[in-house]
Amino acid sequence: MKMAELNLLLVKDDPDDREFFKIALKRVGPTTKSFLASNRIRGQERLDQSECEPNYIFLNLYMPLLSGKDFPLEIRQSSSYELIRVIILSTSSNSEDIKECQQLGACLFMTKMISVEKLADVIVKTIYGKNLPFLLNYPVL
Amino acid sequence: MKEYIPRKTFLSEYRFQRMIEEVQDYAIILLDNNGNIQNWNRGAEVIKGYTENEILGKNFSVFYQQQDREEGLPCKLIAEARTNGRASHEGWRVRKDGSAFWGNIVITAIHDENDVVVGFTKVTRDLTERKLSEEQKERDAKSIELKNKQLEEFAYVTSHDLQEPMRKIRAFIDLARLEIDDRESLEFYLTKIDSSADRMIRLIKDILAFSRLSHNDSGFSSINLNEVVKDVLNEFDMLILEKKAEIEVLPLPTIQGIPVQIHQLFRNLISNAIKFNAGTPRIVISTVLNENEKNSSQISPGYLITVADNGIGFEQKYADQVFKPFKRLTTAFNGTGIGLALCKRILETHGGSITVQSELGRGTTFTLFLPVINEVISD
Repeated sequence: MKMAELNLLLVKDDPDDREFFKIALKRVGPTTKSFLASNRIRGQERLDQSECEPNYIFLNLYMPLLSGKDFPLEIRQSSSYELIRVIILSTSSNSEDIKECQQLGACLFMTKMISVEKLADVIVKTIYGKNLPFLLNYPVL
Repeated sequence: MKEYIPRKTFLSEYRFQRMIEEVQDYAIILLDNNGNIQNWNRGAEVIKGYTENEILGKNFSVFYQQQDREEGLPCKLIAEARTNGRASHEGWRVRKDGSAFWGNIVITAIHDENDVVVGFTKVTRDLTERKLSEEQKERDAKSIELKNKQLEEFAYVTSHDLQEPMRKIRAFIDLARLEIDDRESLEFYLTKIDSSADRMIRLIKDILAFSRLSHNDSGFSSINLNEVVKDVLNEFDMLILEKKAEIEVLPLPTIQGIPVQIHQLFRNLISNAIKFNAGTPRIVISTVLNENEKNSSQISPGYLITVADNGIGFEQKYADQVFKPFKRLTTAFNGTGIGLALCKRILETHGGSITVQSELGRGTTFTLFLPVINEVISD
């Protein structure tokens, strides 16, 4: 997959979080296109916009109002979104949470990082990596 | 010819009688075939309250509670003793003055030379103290279990929410290191680090305030709510000026409560009403004296106080989530998510409750219920 075709949807409530992710993305490659949403509802709206069409969705697990946990389940109800890879991010490394996310259709579970380089690294892995474990990167905190 | 009763037998019978009569810790009485009381001892008087004259000839079922009598418990016990030789039971019984005691009872059948039941002995022990302390232990155990569960939940949520600003601080430090020569970026990251640290401190303060609520050491006293609101509004005078907030306070009652907590309650509600507003806050604080049973869940009279605002509001379906610790419905405005959980705890400590009505974009109304407390309550 060429870098230029990379479309991402970020669903993150925290503005600092979004900034951090965007900085990491710059390191991944200048040609990734990303759409931002501050909650699940906006996320769903973005998804339905024709110019969006993301290949990947990165979203937070814990958000005010609605958690990201069953978002994959929700979007996969529509066949046009079946192939989108959904990656969930969280500070939590709670095994219950991780198991549930896997059962509900997430492709990968990423624990939040503090190093922007590491994050860029992991993002690249999720896009190009093969045979990745479900849980990426144990917490550094 | 009359049988001559040797002196020895007379003495031993006499001693036997005295032995039973003077026992104080056990009621030892004789019942006839139908359960009517034939004799009495000191213990019976102490435990059940009747004197010998008052009780002789009456049926032993008078010691049983109304419900037990209706269900035929005394008859069942006598029948069991008749069949099996004895019957034992533990349960609440009634004294002469109507008060209850927890009795341990053994009824034993007495037979003649032909093995026919001629009566019963009934031995009763008063174990009320033990029963009450057992019940108290059970209550304590349940309460400890509940508190442990709450603590566990709280610890989990706390550690998670405290980690968030900490993680940000470290992330920004990492970014700052990478761009250390860029003065502008550096300034930006340092500001971010500062505000995250500030947030952590506020979170910790709120968590402390929340956990302190469980230790109710302070006493209740008379509190004039009008004064409380006036004080709180004074505290927020800068914020009110800044947001040009209009706050109307209708006459509020005087209640019994813990001053520090009541202040905190109104501080949280009023600050929320002012903060969570995208325009000009308009707030009304008023009261309704609730003496009738309009609200079916309220049995006691009390005060209903409302704090209504025209702020950002939220969807009513999230109404009970709002009171959970750390649960925020929006991150658009600064908040730790503990304020309302604190309010709920405070009201529960005062025997009251809090509910909320809201509409997204249309404002929110909190309704507080404070019961009327006639005596000063100590925990």
